[in-house]
Amino acid sequence: MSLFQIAEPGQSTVKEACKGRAVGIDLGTTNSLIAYVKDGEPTIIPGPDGRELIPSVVHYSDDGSVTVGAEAKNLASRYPRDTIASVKRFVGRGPEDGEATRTMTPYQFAESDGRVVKFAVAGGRRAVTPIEVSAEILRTLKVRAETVLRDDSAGPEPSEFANGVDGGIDSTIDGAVITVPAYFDDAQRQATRDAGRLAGLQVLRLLAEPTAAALAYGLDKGTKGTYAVYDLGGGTFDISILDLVEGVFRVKATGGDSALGGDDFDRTLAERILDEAGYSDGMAGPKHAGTRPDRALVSRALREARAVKERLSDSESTEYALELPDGRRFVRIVTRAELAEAIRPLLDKTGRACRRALKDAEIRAAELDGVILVGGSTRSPCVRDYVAEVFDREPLCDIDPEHVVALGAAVQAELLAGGSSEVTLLDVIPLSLGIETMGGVVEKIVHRNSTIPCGAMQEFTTYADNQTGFDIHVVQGEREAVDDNRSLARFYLKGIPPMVAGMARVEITFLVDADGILRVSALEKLTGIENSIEVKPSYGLTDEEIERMLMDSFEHADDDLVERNLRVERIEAERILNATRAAMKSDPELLDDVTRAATEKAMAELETLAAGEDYLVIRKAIEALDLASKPFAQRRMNRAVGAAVKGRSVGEVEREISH
Amino acid sequence: MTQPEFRRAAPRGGQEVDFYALLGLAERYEIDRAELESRYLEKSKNVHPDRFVAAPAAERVAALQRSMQLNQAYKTLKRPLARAEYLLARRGTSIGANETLEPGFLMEVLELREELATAKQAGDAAKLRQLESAMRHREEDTLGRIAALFGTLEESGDSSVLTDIKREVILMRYIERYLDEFQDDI
Repeated sequence: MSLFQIAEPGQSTVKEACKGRAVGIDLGTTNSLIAYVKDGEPTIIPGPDGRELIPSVVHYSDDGSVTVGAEAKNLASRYPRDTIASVKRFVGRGPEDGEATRTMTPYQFAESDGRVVKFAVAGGRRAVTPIEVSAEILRTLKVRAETVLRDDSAGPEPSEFANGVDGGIDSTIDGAVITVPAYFDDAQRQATRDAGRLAGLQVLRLLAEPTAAALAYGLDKGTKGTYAVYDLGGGTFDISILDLVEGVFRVKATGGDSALGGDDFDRTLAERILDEAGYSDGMAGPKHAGTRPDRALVSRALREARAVKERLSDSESTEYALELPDGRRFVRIVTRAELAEAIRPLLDKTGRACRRALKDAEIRAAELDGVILVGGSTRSPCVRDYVAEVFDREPLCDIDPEHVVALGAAVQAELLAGGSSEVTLLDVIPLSLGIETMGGVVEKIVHRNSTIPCGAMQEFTTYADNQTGFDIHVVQGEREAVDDNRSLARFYLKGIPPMVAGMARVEITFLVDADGILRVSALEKLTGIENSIEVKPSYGLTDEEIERMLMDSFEHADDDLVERNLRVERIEAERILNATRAAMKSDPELLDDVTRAATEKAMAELETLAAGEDYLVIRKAIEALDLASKPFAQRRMNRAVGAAVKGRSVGEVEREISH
Repeated sequence: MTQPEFRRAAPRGGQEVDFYALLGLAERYEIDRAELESRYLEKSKNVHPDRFVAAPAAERVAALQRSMQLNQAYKTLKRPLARAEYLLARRGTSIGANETLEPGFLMEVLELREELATAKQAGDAAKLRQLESAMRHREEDTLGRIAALFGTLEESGDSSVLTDIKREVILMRYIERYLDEFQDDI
């Protein structure tokens, strides 16, 4: 039913142009990957060095240069503060977040205005946000893909569109699907999308990692049934229960911990060893009093812990060796059993989340058709044994657990770019959304594991006479007390006319889109006063900040933003004109005379204005065409859903999302 | 701080979207779960926003709206209590947040709550299981009565039954809330 499946004779369609040019990105805590669908097969795009995984490490050197990947990783021990690894742990988090201040991070935090964490890097001369650091990784992946895709399209049949309208945009990538842990909250998702934008990517969709993995498995094996996906990465843990039927992948329940992963195993082991070696001050639960380890030592201890953990995947015991600052060498044997015992409390946390997810999905472990393993940390036999114990069966790992997410994301990117109906994903919101009410109690408005997109309305009233406003505090989480949940946004709703307490009727609408991102609007119903509210995330960057970063970013330093915007709007205009023409041709009977006249007029205007030089004018004309063709689009959708639906449309929602 | 006071909005029947029509089902209390499931999935496929990523904004908005409505419809019709409340609302019988129970049952609920709190505090697993299973039976009985009453209503069109259904639905709410208390121990 997508517009783009209808080809105009003699015209290159966008669908064609999109082919193979949408990418899937697994932006991981430890490693990242990029993939695309090549000749029907999802394929990882390797780097120039031939390696598929790129370490998610960014180094900012004193001279202002930025290094990403393996090279940056090598610099970590020499410049622990200037080299950011595991940035994903900080994405969408505020400075007062426990995560940001925990011990055993070698980073130096810069002063910030209280909304986002900032790292002091480049010898303290520069302060960067996690969004910027993530964008550096994405940019490196983008370059990787562009090189490969440019070579691909230089084949016998060059895409007309690629060289088409005004020389095209300065990228050979049309769009990207970026994966996020299913358990990422709203702020973390927003931050990830912002990072994509900052890297110059059009983010088609944020996709939950376990869902991506299931997609890779489902298409590969024609699977059917109900599956659990156990996804343990470097810094995040997710559990999802999905059911796969006739081309629909439906997430039944999801759960996890967005700050638990293989890094914690390393940390646990490193803390134990450092403690024994007499360095423990300032760490949680030391057995012996000791000196506080310096950052370089912490870095070395963590690296050795990781190496030990990895070696224990193949052998029963191995040696842990650590150079101490006083020149001594601390050496001792670590067995697999000891590692299993040390990380057991962490694994038990994952076990609890698994049981809760099963309960939410209303299914017993025995009824599952399989358990899929995802994430580098599931390579460890300690983890595999534990998963087998929880689900009482051997888990599946046919596809490389470190590749499977990126491969699934590539499949989804291809489906989205092509408007295909082959597979549909029905995902859920991982954490409940609510509002603070009197007494610091949360009133949940959208419950966890609701299928997205979803919306909900709730009425509130005033508690004092002549009260003219409310503080609206939006939180995410499962706890009853406000302070135990994640604060997403605060805003003040004003303009309520003075009246007796309890008279005002304010309707608050929550809308969660297919990316799992929330929008809120409010309406005073007695008077019809609507407050359109821009929800400023408590954690995250404003649009202006993103724009400024785009301007400042290295890649776009000499790029003329106005020129760039003009090209983008012209392509958009062309696209919409083509799509509308095709739709009018395919469903003329759904067009009444008034809508037809209005649409044609708006089309003619857009065509004229698109030739002009002002991108804002073109953008306005595009919006005008959208507005004019709205009744037509609605009718097409009604037909798509195949039912004569009575009743009014959700006008409130529409106003909010069509901004 | 001027936090709002919460007031549960009564489900709005009539002017809202017709969930049964949306899913192409006959408006009856008894529902074929498999049919509901397949209709929902089939229709969701057609209008999911994923299929309109590259479409003009008007279509994207329409797709988003329809998907939301489908999700809402499925969620509402899937659960017997939500379905019953929805059907009542469509017949102009709304149930507020603070509807009261018959005094006799109210006392019983209070006593059962107290027993539950005591058992939780004492960590008495056997007692907890016993309380849960007793309430599960009660749930089953109540749902049976609701189904029978809707049967009468749909057959005879006798709207005096609505009052009886309402009473049972209020009872069901208390039962569900009580059963929720058994959710957190994992």
